[in-house]
Amino acid sequence: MSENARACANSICCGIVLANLAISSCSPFEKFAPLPLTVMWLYVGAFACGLVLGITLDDAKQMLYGVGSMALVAVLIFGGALIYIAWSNKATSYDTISLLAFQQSFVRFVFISILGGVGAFCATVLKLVFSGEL
Amino acid sequence: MARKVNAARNAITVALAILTLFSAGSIAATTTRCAEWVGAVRHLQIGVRDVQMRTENGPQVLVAFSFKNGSPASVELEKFDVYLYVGSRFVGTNYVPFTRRRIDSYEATTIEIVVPISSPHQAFVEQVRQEEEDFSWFVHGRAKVLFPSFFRQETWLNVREHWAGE
Repeated sequence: MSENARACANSICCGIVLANLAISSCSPFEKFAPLPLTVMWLYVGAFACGLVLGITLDDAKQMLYGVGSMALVAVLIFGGALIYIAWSNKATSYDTISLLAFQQSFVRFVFISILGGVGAFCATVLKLVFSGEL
Repeated sequence: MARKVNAARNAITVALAILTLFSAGSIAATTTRCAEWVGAVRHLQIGVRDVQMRTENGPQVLVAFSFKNGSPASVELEKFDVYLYVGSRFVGTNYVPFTRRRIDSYEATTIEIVVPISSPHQAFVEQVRQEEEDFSWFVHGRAKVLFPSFFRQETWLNVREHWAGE
């Protein structure tokens, strides 16, 4: 598998996994989730996904784009799910839901990006340590 | 060495792909169930189940309400206003401020509210009760429910008009 293809596939996969964690740990959804989680799992998941991207990718630029894409995919799915619920029910609180979807999505995007970046950085350091370059 | 590293990376990618499949299924299931719940609570209704006269602690009427048309999920009940009539004559009311009460199962939940008959109407109620065979109560009112989380919004459910024999 080429580096670019792996970077792309892993970023999207991590984004979907994080979107699931974000939805399962979000208060409106959690009671409907097959596996309800606390929000701490989202942070742990973001860090773990950053580690995975850091381990599987070598190029720093790819890692940077990968973490950004992962966070973007996650919040697009998360925000999309909230909007879908409002839209499918023509909810009277449509505007409230949309606003909250935006707020919650933005907060999650920031957290996922930061923790994903930290995870990728840690993975890079670990690789350098194990290869004897550091 | 490079080949082993590449194989390990491919293995992680495959494991991630499998985890992604589970996650995608979970997202679809959660979103669908949540959307169904929002649809169900918007069609929630509340109705009178039973009306009984009590005289132990002065004349009062016990009115039992139950939810209808709801799917199993949760809402919170905050207030209940009840208006009681004998025929077309108003005889009592009760504004019940609940300590927020969580309703987890609509079908199984019955809310009982005591409506004291106000003293100017006590003699009238007693007289009608003794004189008329088809003595009946007319109850209406409303319940304030809260939908949790960011769907939290106040909604007053109207009690459907109800005539009930003693």
